[in-house]
Amino acid sequence: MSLLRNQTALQGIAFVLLMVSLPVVVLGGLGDELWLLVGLAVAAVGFLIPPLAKLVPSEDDEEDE
Amino acid sequence: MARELSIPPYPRKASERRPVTAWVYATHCKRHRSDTTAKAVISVESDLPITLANWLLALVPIIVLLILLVVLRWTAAQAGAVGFFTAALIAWLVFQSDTGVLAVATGKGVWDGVFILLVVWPALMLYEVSDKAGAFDVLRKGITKFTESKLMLTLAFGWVFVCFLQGIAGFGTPIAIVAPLLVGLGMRPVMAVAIPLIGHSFANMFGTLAVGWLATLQVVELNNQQATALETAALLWIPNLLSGLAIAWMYGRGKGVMKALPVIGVITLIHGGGQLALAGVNPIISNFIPTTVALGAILALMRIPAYNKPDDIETDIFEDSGGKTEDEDGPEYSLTLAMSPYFVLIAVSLLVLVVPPVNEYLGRFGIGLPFPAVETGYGVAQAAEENYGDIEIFTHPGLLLLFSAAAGYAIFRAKGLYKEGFGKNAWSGLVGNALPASVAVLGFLTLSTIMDHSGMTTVLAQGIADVAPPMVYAFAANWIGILGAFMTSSNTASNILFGPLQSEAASAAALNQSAIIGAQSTGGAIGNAIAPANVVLGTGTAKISGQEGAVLRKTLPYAAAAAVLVGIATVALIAFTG
Repeated sequence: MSLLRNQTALQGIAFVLLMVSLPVVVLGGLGDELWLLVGLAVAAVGFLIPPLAKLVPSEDDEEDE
Repeated sequence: MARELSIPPYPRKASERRPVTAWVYATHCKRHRSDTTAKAVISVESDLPITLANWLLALVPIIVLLILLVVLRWTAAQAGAVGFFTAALIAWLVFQSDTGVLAVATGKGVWDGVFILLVVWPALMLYEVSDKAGAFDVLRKGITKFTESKLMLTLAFGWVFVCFLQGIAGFGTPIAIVAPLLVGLGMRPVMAVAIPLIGHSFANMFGTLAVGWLATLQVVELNNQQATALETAALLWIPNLLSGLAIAWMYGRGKGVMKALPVIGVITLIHGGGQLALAGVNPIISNFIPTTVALGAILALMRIPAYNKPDDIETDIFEDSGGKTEDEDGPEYSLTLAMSPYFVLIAVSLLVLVVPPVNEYLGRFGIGLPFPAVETGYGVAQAAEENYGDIEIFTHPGLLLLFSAAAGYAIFRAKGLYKEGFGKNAWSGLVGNALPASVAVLGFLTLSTIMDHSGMTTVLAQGIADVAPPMVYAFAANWIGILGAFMTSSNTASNILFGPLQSEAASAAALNQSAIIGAQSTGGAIGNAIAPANVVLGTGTAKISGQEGAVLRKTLPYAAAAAVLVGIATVALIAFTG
C-alpha cells in the first residue's frame, strides 16, 4: 500500500514502463507487428499512472493534514 | 496526393562538408525526424478532410493540456499523460490512425523525449553538485562585487546570459542552467523559470549556430534568402525588446522598466540590431556574436554607479535574501571556485560545438532507431526511418553538462566542500525532481508526434491557411509558428513542420514569402517561452515540479503580446515591401 502512496515510486514505475515501451515498439517495427501493439499498451499503462496517482492520497498529503 | 519534402543526404566525405554547418546539419537531422539516408515524407496534400469540425477536434488535445495545466493546476506529468490519451483517442476515432500509426508515433515521441531527458538529468546533477558544495550561497554573496542591483542581476542572468547560452548550446540547456542559478540568487522559483523562458526565446531561431535557419533552407525553397534572413531578424527584434521590457516589468513594474530602460536599449541594440546587421551577411553567426558581445556589455553597464548599487524599487520576485542573511555562516570561498563547473561548461561547449574539426570528429558517433513506414486511412504517410532521431553522443549538450558536473564534483571534493551524506542527499534530490519532469516530457512529445503522424497538426495549420483572407493570414502566420514550437519545444521543428505550408500559403495569397517565413520563424522562437516541455525543463531543475501551470501563467501574457505585435509588424512589412 505504501508504494501506491509514494508519488516518486509511482513516477518511477511510469518512467520505466515508458522506457521499456520504446525497444518493444522498435522490435515490432522490425518484424512482428504484434509487438507494436504490446509496446503501445505498455506506454499506455505508463501514461495511466500519473493521472491515476492523483486519485490516491500521497504520503506527503497525509503529512500535511 | 502526398507531396514529398526531401532532405538531401548529409555528405559522407569530410571534404564535401562545409566546416561550420557540419554539426548544425547533423543536429538538425537528429532532432527532426529525418536521418542522413532516409527521406522525410510529409503528406501536406493528402485526403485529409479540412473541415471546421476536424479543425476543432484537432485543437482539443492542446486545449485539454492548457486547461489542465493553467486552469486546473494539474502537474505536467498528469496533464501530459491525459493529453497523450486525448490525442491518441481523437487520432484513432477521427483521423483514421490505426494502432500501428499510434505505436510508431509513441515510439518516436519517447525517443524524442530521451533527447531532452539527456539534458534534464545531467543539468540536475550539475545543480546538485554545486548546491551541496554551497556554491549558490557563495554566488549570492559574491555576485555583489559586480553589482548590488537585483534588477541588473535579473537582466544579466535572465536575459543576457540565457541568450548567450542559447547562442551556443540550445536544446533547453539555457533554461536548465539559468533557472537554478536564479534560484541560487534568491529569486522565487516560479519567476526563476519564467524569466529565462521569456529571455531566451528570441535567440531560438538564429541561436545554436542558426540551426533553425539552416533547417528552414532545407525544407523551403526561398525566393530571396537574404531578404528572408533580414526580415526574420527584423521581426525577431520585437520579441527581444519585449522580453527585456517584460523582465524589467516582472521585477518592479513601471519603476523597474523606467530604471532598466537605458540598459534594455543598449542590450536590444546589440541583440536585435546586431542580429539584423549580421543576418544578411552570415546568418550562422548572427546570434552567437551579438549575444557574446552583450555579455561583455552588461558587465560594463554594471560598473555604472546607477546600476551598481541596490535598487530602491520594490520587488516581489526575490525571496528575502533567499531566506538567508549575508552575515550567516556559510562556506567561504571565491566566486570563481563556486562557478567553476559553469566555466567548465562554457569552455567545453565552445570547444566541442564551435570548433569545426573537434565537432566534426566527435559528431561521428551517434545512435538512432529504426521505425517502419506508416500511413493513416486518410493517406498521411511517414516514410520508414533507418536511423530516426540520431543522437550524437559526444556532442550532445547532456554529455557537456555531465562532464561539467563531474569536473565540479572533482573540484569541490578536492577542496573538501562536501559534507557527510552528500551522495544520498544529491541522489534523492536528483530523482525526486527528474522523474516527474521525465514523465511529463515524454507525455508532451508523444502527444506532439501523435498529432503530427495522424495529420491533426496539418489540419490545424492548413485550416487557418484555407479560410483566412491574405492580410489576416499574414497577421496569424506567426501564431502557426508558435503552435509548432508549443508542441515540439523547438523553433527548428516548428519551421520544418510548418515552413512548407507557410510558403505555399504565401504563394497562394500572393503575399511576400520572406515576411511570412520570417513570421513563422519568429513565432517558432516565441513559442519556446510557453512550450510545456521547456517549462518542465525549468521546473525540474528549479525543483518545483508540479508548478508548471504557475510558470505558464507568467509566460503566456508575454507570448500573446509578442504574437500580436509580430502579427502587426508582419502586416506592415508586407504593406511596405509589397
